[in-house]
This record gives sequence, structure tokens and C-alpha cells, in this order.
Amino acid sequence: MTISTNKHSEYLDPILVRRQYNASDLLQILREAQEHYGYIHSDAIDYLSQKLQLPRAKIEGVASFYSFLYLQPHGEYRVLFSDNITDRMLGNQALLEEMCHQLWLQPGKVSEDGLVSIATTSCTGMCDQGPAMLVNGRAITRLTHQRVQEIGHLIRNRTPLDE
Amino acid sequence: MLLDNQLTPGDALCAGITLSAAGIVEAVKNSGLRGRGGAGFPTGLKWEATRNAAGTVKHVVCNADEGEPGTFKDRVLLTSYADLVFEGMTLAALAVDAQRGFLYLRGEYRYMLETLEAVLQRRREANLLGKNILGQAGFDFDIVIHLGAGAYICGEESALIESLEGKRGVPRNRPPFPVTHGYMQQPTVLDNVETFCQAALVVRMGADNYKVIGTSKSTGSKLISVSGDCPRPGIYEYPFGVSVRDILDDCGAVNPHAVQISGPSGVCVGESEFNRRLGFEDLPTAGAFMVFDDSRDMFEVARNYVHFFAHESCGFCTPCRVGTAMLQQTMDKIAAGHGTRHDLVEIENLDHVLQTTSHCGLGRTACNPVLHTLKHFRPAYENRLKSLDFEPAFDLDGALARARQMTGRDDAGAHLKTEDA
Ligand SMILES: Cc1cc2nc3c(=O)[nH]c(=O)nc-3n(C[C@H](O)[C@H](O)[C@H](O)COP(=O)(O)O)c2cc1C
Ligand code: SF4
Repeated sequence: MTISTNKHSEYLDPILVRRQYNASDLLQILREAQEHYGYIHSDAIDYLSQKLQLPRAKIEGVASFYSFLYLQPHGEYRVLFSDNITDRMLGNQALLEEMCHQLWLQPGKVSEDGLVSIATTSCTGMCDQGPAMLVNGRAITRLTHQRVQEIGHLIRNRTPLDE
Repeated sequence: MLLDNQLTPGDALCAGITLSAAGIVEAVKNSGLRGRGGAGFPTGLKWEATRNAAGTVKHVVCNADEGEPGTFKDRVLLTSYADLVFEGMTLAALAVDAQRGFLYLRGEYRYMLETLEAVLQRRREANLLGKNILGQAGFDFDIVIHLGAGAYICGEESALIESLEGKRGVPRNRPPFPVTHGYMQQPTVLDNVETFCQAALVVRMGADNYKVIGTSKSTGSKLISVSGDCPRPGIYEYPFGVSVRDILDDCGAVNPHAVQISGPSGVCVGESEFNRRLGFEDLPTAGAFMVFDDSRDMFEVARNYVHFFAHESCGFCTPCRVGTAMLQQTMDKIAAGHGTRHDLVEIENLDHVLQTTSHCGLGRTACNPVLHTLKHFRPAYENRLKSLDFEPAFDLDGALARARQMTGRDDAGAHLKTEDA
């Protein structure tokens, strides 16, 4: 998949205008840019580098610091299981394994068709309603085997997340 | 008190305008209010220092990074009491004469963004934000929301400011402190979500009425995030001074044998200490209260926390980066049944190194989960130790496992000889 720089300007320009080309808003710009493809495309970094007058290495340095920013494709659906001890006590590990099995992939890797990735993340602040997960930033709580199956099914059918 | 407050948007702000800027600082100081983000610094002193700091451009920052595992009270405040949070920030702005506010919202709470933006917009329309707030000439203040992106270290105040400036969230050298050199090196009030709510209550009810709640050194109430082994998890509010036992009773915990107070960097309290009290005199807390019943293996609890610290170390200083990774390896080694007494001693040595050489609080507290659980649950560790005195941390047969997998061999010749083989 090659995406021309031109194509990036389409979604990056409005972000840059709203952020007034402010280099001190770099993290916010990257986060908003990522919402377009689910990751930050290499050409997008070039474009931002040029428009914000920041070295490419500086932008990559910032992006690589934050675990929610991706420089590589991470799947259309990014599933993150909250991995606090309270989630573990409620069986999140078995649920994660089950979902990986259902969707044919390994934890931390993207499925071959680029559809989905499944990984763990630090406590998501839902310990009163665990086990919990984030799917593309949306919190889903009180997971059970049945709910995980259903979510896996919706992902496989590419159902939009609003359900 | 906080959870059942009857304030409508603008109430505390009107009270603040009557008090005037200096009066707000005085009230917050007199109330004895201390920061709810963990460290417990007196909020009034912070506001006063920012007010007195040189410079005309000042900022108010709300720390909504809420990354400490087991804490979720800020989530509830931002979901159900967002107006009060913003009101507290606006009062701080009035007190220190700041023009710009930031809410630094953790990336995990991205789904709240639109709702919070709508609350801000409503407040602008009601003239509770913007220019000449509530008709006061020159009282100009507005708030923008910045999102984090999955880095626990950004909850540390100076790392948070770096992140607000669009950089990697690495803690700064302190001093200077944010009160004089914060966002863009300008004077900045930075407080926790709950602190701003409490400050608004102080201004509305008056310092004298506020400080009778709680204890003499820990005034007011505290939100507690209860989770783990109990039938009624959730947010509870108590005056400071409440005992661990009282909270366990209220959440219905059955046969609890430990509570982790204030998250992995906090304190593990065993059954013999359930009469201890929450407050800066005894058990300071940012709010996490994770309950473990007597079926739980406290070694595994500590191991989970150690993995958390190793994952979240920002990597800036070598002792913390390497030390948290070593600690994780040692705990994994003990879990796999390869640990020895020597490893326990090594953890204590490592703690000493991290205590004395770490650049920020993460490194300094990283060994706590192990040391605290060792104190109360030593058998959970000792049952796993080999009787041997020493075993190298490098497990050669373990390393060979990958080679065996790659070559498809698992016959006896592909294994190291071990005693029980
Ligand atoms: C590693 C680390 C993580 C922290 N995380 C948070 C956090 O998520 N939220 C918070 O309010 N304070 C956090 N703090 C404390 C802040 O540095 C700071 O003391 C606090 O936000 C000040 O606000 P307060 O005075 O209202 O408590 C953290 C500190 C450290 C060392
Ligand atoms: S102690 Fe750890 S988290 Fe803190 S600055 Fe050093 S490496 Fe980063």
C-alpha cells in the first residue's frame, strides 16, 4: 500500500490548521493524525516534518515514546486487554488466549490480513468493572467468554464499533 | 461531601469572586487541603507560590493521567462531576491570575473527550469560561484538553509538562518546580483532578467548615477506588482517618488477607494492620484500595506490579531501566522455581540502589511491592525457592527451549542434564 504525500495533506492540513502549526502540540497532532489510518504513516511524518519544521528523528522520537502511538500498521481493530492484577484475578489471561485463538493470531502481533491486533496494556482504570479492554480506544468492561466471542465475531465481520 | 455535593455550575466561582484572588489562596491554605494525587503537598502553598511567582503568563494544569493501577476515582469525577473539576481549575486561575488551563487526560480515557469538550463549551456559553468571566473585567481564562498516549510516567508532574509541550514524557530535574518553571518554563499550578474538586468545595463551604472534617494533618474527605476481592467494588468517600477495616466492612470483603493501598507504588497492608488509618499521618493514599482474600497468592500480585514498573520505566536513567528489568527477571525466575535465598537479598540491595540513584518516584518505589509482600507473606516466596543457595539468573535450558522449538527437537539429547531428568 503506497499513499502519496498529497493524500496525507488531505487529513493532516485541517489538523495542522486547528493546531496553528504549533510544534509544541506535536503529541496532539500525532495522536489526531493516527486516528486516520490507525497508525502514523511514514510519509505523514515527512509531511509533518516539513510543515512543522522539525527533524524527522525528533518526531519519531516522540512517537516511539508513547505506547499508544504506532509507526507500523497495527490492525484496523486494536484490542488491548487491561492487565492489572484485578483483571488477572478475574481471568483476563484466559480471555486473551481465547480471543487470539478465535482470530488466529499471537498476542502483540497483527493478524495476517491486517484486520486486528491483540495485546495487553497497563491498568485502564476500570478495575471496578473488570476484566476490561479497549478496542480502538473504546472501553469494554465486565468481559466474559461469551462477550469476548461476540466481540471477536463483530471484528471478523468488520462491524463498525458503534455496534 | 464531594460525591453528594449540591453545587450548581458557577456556585463556587461566585463565592471565589466574593473572596477575591488573595482570599481564595488564604481559604485554601487555612483549610489544610493537601494534594490528592499522592504526594500530599499543601495545595494552598502551591497556589500562593504560583501567585507570587514572577511573570505575567501563568497556567493551570489538571493532572488526569490517573495511571496508578487500581485507581479510577478521577474517571468517575470526570464522568459525573466534570463541572466541579473545571470550576476548581477556574478558581485556581482566578487565585494565581492564570489565563490558560490544560486538562491532561490519559489516553485510556480518550472516549470521554467529546463529552468533556461539550461541558467546556457549555461553560463558555454560560460565561464561566472565556473573557470577563461572570462579568469580572479582566478575568479571562479558558481550558483545553490534551490527551496522553499510554505512558504512566506522564502522571509525574514534570514529565506531564514535558508531554504537554509535545515532547517525550521524561521527568525534569527539580527544582525548579512547576510553580515557578512549569509549562513553557512559566509559573504553573498543577494539581490532581480530585484536588481541584476539593478546592472548589473549600471555597464554597469556607475553610473553617472544611477543616473540621478528617484529621488535623489530613483535612477533608478522600475518594477511595475499591477493587479486587469484594462484592461491592466502586468509589467510596470517607473523611481522612478511616481505618482499613471499616472500608473492608463497607465493601463486603470476605476473608481479606491483604490490601494494596495507593497502588503498586504504595503500601501492602496485611491482616494484622487492618486497624491502620488512611491519611498523611499513617497511610497516605492516592486512592487505590485493592483487596485480596486468603485464596490469593501475594507473590503473583507483587510479580504483576513488578512487570508494571519494568514496562513503564521511561528508560531515562540506567539504574531504573536496568533495575526494574532485573527485578522482573528475578521475580520470573522465582516464579519458575529457580529462585534462591540469594535472590531475596539481591532484591534488597537493588532497592537500595534504586532508592538512592533514581531520577523520579517510579524508580524509588519499584521494589516496594516485593519488599512489602515479603514482610507479610514470606512463605509465598520461600515455598518457591530452591534449597540451593545460588543459581545463575540465566536459565540455559530455558534458552535452549527456543532452539529446540526451532529445530523441532525435544529428545533427551537436546536437553541439559538435570538432577531429576
Ligand atoms: C511515577 C509517578 C506517577 C504519578 N502519577 C500521577 C497521576 O496519575 N495522577 C496524579 O494526580 N498524580 C500523579 N503523580 C504525582 C504528581 O507528580 C503530582 O505530585 C501531583 O499531580 C500533584 O497534584 P496534587 O498536589 O493535587 O496531588 C505521579 C507521580 C509519580 C512519581
Ligand atoms: S527513575 Fe525510572 S521512570 Fe523515573 S526518570 Fe528514571 S528511568 Fe524514568
